[in-house]
Amino acid sequence: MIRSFAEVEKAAYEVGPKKASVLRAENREFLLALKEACRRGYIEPILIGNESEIRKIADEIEFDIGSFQLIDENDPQEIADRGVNLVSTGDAQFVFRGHIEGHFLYRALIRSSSNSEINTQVCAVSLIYLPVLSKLIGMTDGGVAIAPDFQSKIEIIRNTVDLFSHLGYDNPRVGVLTAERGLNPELDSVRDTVKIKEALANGELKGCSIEDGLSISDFLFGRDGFLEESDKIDFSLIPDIFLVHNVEFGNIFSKIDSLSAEDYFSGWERHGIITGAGIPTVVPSRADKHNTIVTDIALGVLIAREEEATGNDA
Amino acid sequence: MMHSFSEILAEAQKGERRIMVTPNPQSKRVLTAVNDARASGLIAPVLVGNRNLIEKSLFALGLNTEGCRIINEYDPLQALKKSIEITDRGEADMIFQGDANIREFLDAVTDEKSGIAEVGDLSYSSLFELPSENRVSFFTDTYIQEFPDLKQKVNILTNAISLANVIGIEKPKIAALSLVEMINLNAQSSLDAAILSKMSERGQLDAIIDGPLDVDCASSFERARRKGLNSSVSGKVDIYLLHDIESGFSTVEVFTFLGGAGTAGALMGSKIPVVLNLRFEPTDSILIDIALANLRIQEGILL
Repeated sequence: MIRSFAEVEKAAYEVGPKKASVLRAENREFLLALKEACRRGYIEPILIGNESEIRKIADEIEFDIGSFQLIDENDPQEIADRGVNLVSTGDAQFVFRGHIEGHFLYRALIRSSSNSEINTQVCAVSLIYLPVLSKLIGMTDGGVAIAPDFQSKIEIIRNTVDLFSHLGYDNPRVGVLTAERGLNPELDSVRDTVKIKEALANGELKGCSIEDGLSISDFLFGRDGFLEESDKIDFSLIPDIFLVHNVEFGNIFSKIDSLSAEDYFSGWERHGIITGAGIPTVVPSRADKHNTIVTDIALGVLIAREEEATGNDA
Repeated sequence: MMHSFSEILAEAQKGERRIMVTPNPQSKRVLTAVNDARASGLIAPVLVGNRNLIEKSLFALGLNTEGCRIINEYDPLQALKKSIEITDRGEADMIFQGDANIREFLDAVTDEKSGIAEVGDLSYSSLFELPSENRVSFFTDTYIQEFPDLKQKVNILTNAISLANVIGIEKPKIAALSLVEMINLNAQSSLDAAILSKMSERGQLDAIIDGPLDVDCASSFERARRKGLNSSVSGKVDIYLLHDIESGFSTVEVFTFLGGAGTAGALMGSKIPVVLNLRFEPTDSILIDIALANLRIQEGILL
């Protein structure tokens, strides 16, 4: 079981290199990260973007890209489509989002998923290292599915459970969060949760368990208990995966440590990936430094699509 | 300006003792909270319920009935009703939920016949301390309004601004949260945020509101700048406005249970302070909730 991002890096070193298509590589921090990831043997990049810009920055940072495939392309949607396509044809094994806006990537992924028979739901998963538990937890969806309905939620859970099994978490515990707080059992989020539990019971959903209850309070003290002292929380009751009702909260949860990094969330570490559509995608933040991005790449290596048996990759 | 929960308590202790009525106090949590508030000089308790049971429960905890007025009432529902009536008649300065069921309690408080509150006016703010910055900040609405429209958000913010004033923050800095810092015509949170921000610019709300902002840009000046944003509230936010109850309630839960941050809070928008007993607030926060109610009375900040 992978318990930390340091272990993600170690595992990437062991299973790499994998081929990654890099969408718009022309950015100093991203190229610095790629240089380091190549040095560690994580990846072989296929660079897509403005060729002269890429070469210029690569020169500046002394990154020898001579042996890599480079695709000169300036149109952002075209870049995203080609990068995603490289993975669906088996020529690359995961997508690395460079300096390109999310919606071009999402559009490319959704287009690709409509041709895919695997799973049509594309979703964003945040992996969070929780120091109190010394392990990773997942949170979804923080960015792609805006207001998923019940069926989409089932597929989001499947995607995330799949991801967790890649990381060695067997039968993860999924906590479905709702705003039920003793006032309104009629919320959409509550209805969906009831149906998700039914789906698990009738075998439509497999490979995970769903926590009893509708909120973290429920998970920790059942339906009627109260938090007595905030420094006596039994963290072992925290689920492995959180499913949230909408992106408004998913977005906040994915970055909640930034609200108080010093006082309450010190030691938290988080990385985002996009799964579904059979196209594993890592999405470094534009505000991140290159050493953080190297970890994103390592994560991509771990969740990379299996190489095609036909030997496309050889 | 009060910079921590202990300063809020200390400030409230400077004021007069207030009469607080509590229906059916039974649990250790509730009786401890009432006793702490009495011992801290904040309140004179009026306990409504089965006298024998109340006394027994108090004694079992090593507490006594000192300073308490007990109104004997065997039927729990009647006890709740009587508590509301006492408060309504002005015989109490505030009411505490105690061990009453939250839904029954809020229904009783906002009942048509009750003069305590109307449900549309109410909203809840959850306060948390930021020791490293020596200040407190809060989220709203974390409990009451579920999917507020713009009009209701104005009310929620008006309530939160009042609460900020109670703890000595004049013209609070407010981040109206959304997914990103750009207006997305498909995201209602971003449209509402932009309008609220404009309203504050025109002086229609007594605060400095910026939005839409994501939590990253709201919480850090540095990160906002890296995204090319220069916001007047970044890194100094007093109040985070959340779009809906799914984000409001769950944000405070994640803060509490994954971050280990004990929050306190205040139900705002009532004519008489109402103190709730919420599951996600630690027992010792109830004392702070009561202190905030005291300060509201002191400052005359009621609806």
